[in-house]
Amino acid sequence: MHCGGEVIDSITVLASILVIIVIHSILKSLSEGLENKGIAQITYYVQYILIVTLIMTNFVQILDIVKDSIQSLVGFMNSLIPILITLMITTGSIVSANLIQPIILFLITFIGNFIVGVIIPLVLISTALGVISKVSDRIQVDKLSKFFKTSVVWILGVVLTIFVGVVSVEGSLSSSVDGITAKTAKAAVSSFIPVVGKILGDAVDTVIGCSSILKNATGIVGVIILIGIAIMPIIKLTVLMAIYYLGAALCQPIADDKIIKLLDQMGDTFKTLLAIMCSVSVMFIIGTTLVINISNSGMMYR
Amino acid sequence: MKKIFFILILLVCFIPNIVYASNEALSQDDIIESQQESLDINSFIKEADKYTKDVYEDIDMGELFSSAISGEIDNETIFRSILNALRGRSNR
Repeated sequence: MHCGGEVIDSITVLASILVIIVIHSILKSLSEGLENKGIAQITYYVQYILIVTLIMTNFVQILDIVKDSIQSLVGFMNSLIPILITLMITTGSIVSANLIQPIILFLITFIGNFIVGVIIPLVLISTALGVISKVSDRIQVDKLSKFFKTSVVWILGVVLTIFVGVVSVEGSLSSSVDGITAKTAKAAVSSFIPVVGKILGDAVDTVIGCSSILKNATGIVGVIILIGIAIMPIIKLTVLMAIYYLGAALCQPIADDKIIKLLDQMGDTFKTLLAIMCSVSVMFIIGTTLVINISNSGMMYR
Repeated sequence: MKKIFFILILLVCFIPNIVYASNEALSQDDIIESQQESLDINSFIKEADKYTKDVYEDIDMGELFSSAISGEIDNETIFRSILNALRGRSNR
């Protein structure tokens, strides 16, 4: 991933678009002087094709980066969660671990595949429809494009809510069971084993405490790595979104209305991709911290 | 029967079953280290290094993990390496 490289590419694309728009506006005023609508239409189409070609080259690269980052996030979560769950078991959170592991691993893999396989193609379709609807006034599929974009935002919201809801509810239910079970076991060891019962109970507590420290440290490192994977695409998408909105604002005095709408729509597309990246990374960070906290709250019962 | 019983009692009496208590108490670091080894956390750290090679170039994940255990994470180094990664890439 070359973060700065792609941002510079986008700035170059935007500069090229500005040059094309300036040339088109000169040609437009010339053709208007000649009172020839046909030439004006042809120059508009040529300009539009050039701009769309430039934008799409850039857009495909960015889509690939978003897909790669999501797959990296899912891959890393698939190696982080088993080790966190093992550490949870060593802290005595057996019920929580058994309950959470299948759910969380399923949700992470499902959500990752769902976003790469369904959500990102929907964004692509929405962008394609938006581009098509700005070719001429005859073809209007703007509403369909908006429908897909709104659907993407809604689906993301629902997915995020389901993930956080399921993990937190399951965790809070099972952590109290784990806490009480561990407390009962410790009390039984301390009182039923003669002479060394108390020492044994304390030793178990020390080992569990150390496991908890290890689990928290692993979780924190996991969160830092998740941030490391997601931060570059997020920064890049933010910059690109700003560049396209700025481009639309700069072109407004001279460019055709449809071209401005196209640039604006590309800004919206990058905003949607940014929302996807942010929700996936925030979801995984929340998931990791919840897993850490579930067994920590179980420890409170001791 | 009585003889067998008598022999068994003698055997039980003479089998060395003395337990020596040790004064060496395991420290918290030793326990953490042994758990780290048995749970193979180091391989996870190595795996994690692969994902963030290009962002956290200056940070060793092993060191980061050790600092997380002691609760002294250096946030500044993390911010700096993210900024460096941005700057480094912009120059490319």
